[in-house]
Amino acid sequence: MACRPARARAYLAGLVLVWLALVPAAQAEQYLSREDFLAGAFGAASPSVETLWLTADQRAAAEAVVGWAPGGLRTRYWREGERTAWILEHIGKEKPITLGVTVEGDSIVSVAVLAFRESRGWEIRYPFFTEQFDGLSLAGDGKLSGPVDGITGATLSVRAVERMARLALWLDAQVGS
Amino acid sequence: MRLRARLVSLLWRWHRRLGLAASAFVLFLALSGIALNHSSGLALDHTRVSSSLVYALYGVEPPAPRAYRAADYWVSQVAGEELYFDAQPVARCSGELVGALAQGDYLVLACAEEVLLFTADGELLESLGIGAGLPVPLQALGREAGGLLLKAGGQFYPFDPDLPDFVPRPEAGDEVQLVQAAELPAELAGQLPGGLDWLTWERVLLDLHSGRLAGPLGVALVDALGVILCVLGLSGFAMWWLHRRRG
Repeated sequence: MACRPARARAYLAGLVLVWLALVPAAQAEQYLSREDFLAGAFGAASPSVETLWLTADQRAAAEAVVGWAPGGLRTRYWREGERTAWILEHIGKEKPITLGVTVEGDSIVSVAVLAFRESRGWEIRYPFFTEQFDGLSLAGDGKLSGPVDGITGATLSVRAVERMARLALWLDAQVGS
Repeated sequence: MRLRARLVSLLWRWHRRLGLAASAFVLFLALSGIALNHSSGLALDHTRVSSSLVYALYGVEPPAPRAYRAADYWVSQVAGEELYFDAQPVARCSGELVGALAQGDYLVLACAEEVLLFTADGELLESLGIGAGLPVPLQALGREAGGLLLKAGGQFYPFDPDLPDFVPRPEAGDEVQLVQAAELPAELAGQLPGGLDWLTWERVLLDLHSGRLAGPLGVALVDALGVILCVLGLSGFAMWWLHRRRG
């Protein structure tokens, strides 16, 4: 009789270990390196690395317009002529998605997913989704100027990408073209 | 007629007995099922368990915070990704905290997949991750005469918070000092939220609901309850049918 609780505890510990083994790893799945993203954004040109400092007022403005602002005081970006490139991170459901956005003339040139860490919603990395952002700009109400079709089962990831795209456009407007 | 009356009586007697025996369990399963249906609204899905009794039931140890001393702060992380300056939550960080130190005007916090830069006042300045070219997973943060170093994949990367660029250097050098974790003062540790990120109240409720928390016996009990509920349904239908025919 005395060994039953110990056996039950061992069984439970075993269950927990099996469960932990089945939990998807939290490591990022990296699809694109920073260098490859910048090569795609600027081609053979060599963009300069610049820093945008955001005051508390600017972050509040970003919150009001986009619904989200970077947590830090400064954000780095890359620039060549009128073209800027931004690498942003925003949480989809529980883990951050790393997104690269290229902007020129107040419009998105391209969007690319650099890394994805959630267990669901990775379909957002495919061109059938990201190409919907090409040519979109920021409308007066802070939304994108055109519709973006969602993906079933990836609602939160789609929403995070939309927010980052809107923030990239807003940030580009802050640094001027 | 007599046989039917005896059958109804037998059914009725066992229907009552089984119903009474199952009532407490049915009540619990119904309430726990409703709670699980609304686990997000009730914050059960992200509220970590801090009860030592529950940890004992699962046979795991409550996690100890990982802490470093940097400038005037105790920088710590407990199980998940939330970082604390003393007892104040300051930011989330991707991966386990591997080092923290003060360098010039900066407080540098290195996690496995992210480096966070803070001002000396504790305000978040910048987050550097894969998008900034950070090599991951980071293993350690260190210091040498020339500045800071990050260690990843067995290689050392000189790190300048003003101009972060990550070019590996094969040798660490003799003067490198990697930051070592320290033991958080007990008074401070008591102020931090404890708990493993996977052990939420939703998990516990789910394991109670299915009976798994009590091991094979619990699962068998819930299975037996399922069978009893089927019998109750069938006996209830049979009694209704027999009464109906008699009427």
